[in-house]
Amino acid sequence: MPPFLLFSIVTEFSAYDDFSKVYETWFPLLYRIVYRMTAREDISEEVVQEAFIKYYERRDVLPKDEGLKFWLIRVVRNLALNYEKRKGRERRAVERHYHEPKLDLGHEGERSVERKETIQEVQHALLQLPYNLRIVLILKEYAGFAYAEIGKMLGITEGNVKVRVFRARNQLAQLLGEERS
Amino acid sequence: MKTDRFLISAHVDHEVEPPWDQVVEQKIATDPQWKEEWERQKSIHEKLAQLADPESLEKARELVRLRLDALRSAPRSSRHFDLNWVGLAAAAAVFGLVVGGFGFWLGRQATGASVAEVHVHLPSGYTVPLNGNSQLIKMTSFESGNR
Repeated sequence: MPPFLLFSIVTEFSAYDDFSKVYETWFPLLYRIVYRMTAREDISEEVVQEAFIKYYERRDVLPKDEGLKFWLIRVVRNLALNYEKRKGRERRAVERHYHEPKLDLGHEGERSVERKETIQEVQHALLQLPYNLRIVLILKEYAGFAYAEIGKMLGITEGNVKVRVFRARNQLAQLLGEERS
Repeated sequence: MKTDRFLISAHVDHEVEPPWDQVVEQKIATDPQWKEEWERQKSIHEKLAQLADPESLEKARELVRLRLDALRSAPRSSRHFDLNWVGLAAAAAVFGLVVGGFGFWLGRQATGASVAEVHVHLPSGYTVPLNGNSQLIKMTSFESGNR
């Protein structure tokens, strides 16, 4: 076997291995973030797949480790934002008519049902937050990033992240009916 | 101060560094408004934590992996192959149209100039040398000069 062919096979296998490693490491996190942003399984799949295609095409020039993590999150955030712009109004209208949980508070005593309703309420309220507040809260609550990391990812200061998390939770409280006494 | 209250959510997230965390804790313990805000922030944090991972995660992971494997097994440039050729053909067609159109226009312009009439006034006694079939006999410039 010619040495150059052997080299190319080894390189290809190594790239495959790298890609698999990156995929296995970051898929759950990216999927979770997009799912919380959109509450749609099909969109989450599509967005994360697109992000990994972008990664595969540019993997030679992309940073590794920490930098790659930030890059991937920025990509899914942008793709989810594009989706939001494109479909947001239409999706919300459809959900309002067909999928919005109809809370029947008359059925008491069924804890699991109540819990499910609460979860649906929280998810629904989360979707109603403005995008800028939602992404920060999701990166904090579901990705577990520190404020400084979130600031770095979104290109804002740590103080700004702090303010947005505070406002996001406050708005959620209002949406969930937890008014100030 | 109003801005200080942003520290409450940071405190819920354990993001306030010492010694400020002590200050915030003390404020929460003594100020009812801060306490109320802290409880609200904490309650929302707990409610958000109730949202578990979507059940579809594992299925999606496998599905997307299969799709990506299929894409990667194709030659790297194949995704753009068709598009490149279509673009190239379109560019060639546009270029051909522009060049052809310009040539046609130039041709039309040139035709007008080539059919201009030329009036030549000859001396009254001038006779042109004709052959038997009324065709002009060609003369070299030397011959015509001698005439």
